[in-house]
Amino acid sequence: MASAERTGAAAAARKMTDTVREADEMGKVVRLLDREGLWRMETPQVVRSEVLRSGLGKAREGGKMVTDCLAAAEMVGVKGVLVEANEPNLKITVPADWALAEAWLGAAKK
Amino acid sequence: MRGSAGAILLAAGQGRRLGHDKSITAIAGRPVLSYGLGVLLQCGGIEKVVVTVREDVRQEVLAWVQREYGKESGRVEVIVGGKERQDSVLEGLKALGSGVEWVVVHDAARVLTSVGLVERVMASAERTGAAAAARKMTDTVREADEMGKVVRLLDREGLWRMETPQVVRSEVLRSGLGKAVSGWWRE
Repeated sequence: MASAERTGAAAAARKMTDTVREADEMGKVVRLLDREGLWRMETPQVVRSEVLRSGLGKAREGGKMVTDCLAAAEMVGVKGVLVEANEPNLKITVPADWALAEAWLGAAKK
Repeated sequence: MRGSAGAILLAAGQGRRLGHDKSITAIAGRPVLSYGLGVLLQCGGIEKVVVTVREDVRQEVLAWVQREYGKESGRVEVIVGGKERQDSVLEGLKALGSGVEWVVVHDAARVLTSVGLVERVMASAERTGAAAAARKMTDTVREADEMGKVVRLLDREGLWRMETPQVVRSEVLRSGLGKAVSGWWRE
């Protein structure tokens, strides 16, 4: 929120620590990417409501997919900033995440 | 797996992002590297495990392995790793010797790996010559500068995050490492 106040739009993100490759659905490797400068986007994402509203509206009109709020902001020319998340911020996405989150939450309670 | 396999457990990382050497720090009551070591020793086909550690902790790790594994510690060798990851892999290869046909490379920092995953990657390498554990990218990926200023949005479709274990024919790995000069090489 503090970062968005300064820049207009901000999102939690994490620097890529793994090597990244492009591969097909079968896992056959196509190419190696340079991980330097790559960030994985997370939430929370904070945008001026006015900007989000017009960005999402523009995306809908143009039939464009916006994968996150920064993409919506970019639709109307607002460049967001990433805030490094240096604490766990797991999103439950695949079945294995469930057990991990449960173990973490259980341990945190103790 | 047809042909013998040896494993290299990489625990010589500098722990730059963590701020300290993490290989023998206890996590859930056991040294970090004990989890990967235990898994590799249980995998069918893996005859020997070479653990690469920092020079200053080698004796301590060696003593721990002997205490923990007794007679079985004969299948474990603890050596000093190199400066970069690829140097450690090369040292590990030397220690494994020419007797092994397959090499399983694994990061000690991956403490949740199962025997099943290692064996799946080994089976896959047997079919194709080389295989690695990886995970589909589930997050949106952006390129940004050090300050977090966004440069561009990448299409995450088809992107995978590389993990270990990684399994390669030892001869292929040896000649591949010989060719790679220091630089971007990370796997």
